[in-house]
Amino acid sequence: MANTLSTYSLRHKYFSTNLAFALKKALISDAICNVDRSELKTIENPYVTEVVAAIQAVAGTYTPAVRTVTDDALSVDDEVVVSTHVFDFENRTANFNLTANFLEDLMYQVGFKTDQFVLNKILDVATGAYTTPAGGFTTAANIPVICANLLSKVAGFQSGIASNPFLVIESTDVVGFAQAQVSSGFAYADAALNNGFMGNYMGIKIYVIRTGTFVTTTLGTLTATNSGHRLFGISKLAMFASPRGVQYEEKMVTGKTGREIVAYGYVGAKVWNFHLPLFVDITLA
Amino acid sequence: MAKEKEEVKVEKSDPRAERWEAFLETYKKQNPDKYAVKDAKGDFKKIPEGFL
Repeated sequence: MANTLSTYSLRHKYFSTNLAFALKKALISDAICNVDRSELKTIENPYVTEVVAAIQAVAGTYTPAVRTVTDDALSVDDEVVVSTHVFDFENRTANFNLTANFLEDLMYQVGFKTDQFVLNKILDVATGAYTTPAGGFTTAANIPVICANLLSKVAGFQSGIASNPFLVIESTDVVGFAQAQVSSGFAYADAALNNGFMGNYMGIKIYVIRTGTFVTTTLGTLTATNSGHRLFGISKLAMFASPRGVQYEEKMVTGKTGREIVAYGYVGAKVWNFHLPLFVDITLA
Repeated sequence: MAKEKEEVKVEKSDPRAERWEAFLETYKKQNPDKYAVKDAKGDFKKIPEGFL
């Protein structure tokens, strides 16, 4: 006998009360930057010229050095915004709270774009430079060589190796890292074999972002040329300002039922002048 | 006598290449030091795949 059951007669279950959205990408700028969320347009940090003490045979003479003060400031010049509209009939008849769900996603999207801007901005201004051996991070044998070279770039400074260096790689770079981790050392290799990808390597905290986050494109006022580049530096030395963080509004608009919802945030990022060499722009070969 | 037709060649411009040139000009103004370093390394010889 043919199956004549209608779909109305069957039980349905929703996995959760929330709608599923696209995979969220990791946000890391908060972890590597000094973050300021106060309502300021600029953060000023003037610096003085460096002087060097002289050592000489006792003579009792000296030449006063001329010291100059230079202005340096972080300015919040960019905003990240995203919005959508939820009609009343959509909200009323949906199984979910569409407004709440959409809003949550919009706020994440603002957070992600802010993160991407900050990472690209820091990489763009970094004055340290290093080019990897051929194969970049995808060749396991390169990993210790690259990390050793990066550490040497910041060694000898007070804010150097001992100050929690970080490395931001894209997901495609994990290939070489994972292989290097399970084959180098002894206890470390065992730990990597047991636990998977390790967030630390040679004292460097490793952050993984999705491929395509470092871009060659225009991001607000920033012209970034970072495709094929990666970022290394010292944690908490770069500054990232996001006045009030991510905000949202729900508003009634003329000619439409329901609500227009918008999420937005302001962003500025800066590496202070003397810290620029502590951030390394890695070129993948 | 048949009149010889003159061939007029119309050079087709590549909009993507034009956008790339304009992009580099902006970058050169915004970050001249980094531009010089990357230009010397040959970073800008090829338009990156991801550049639209």
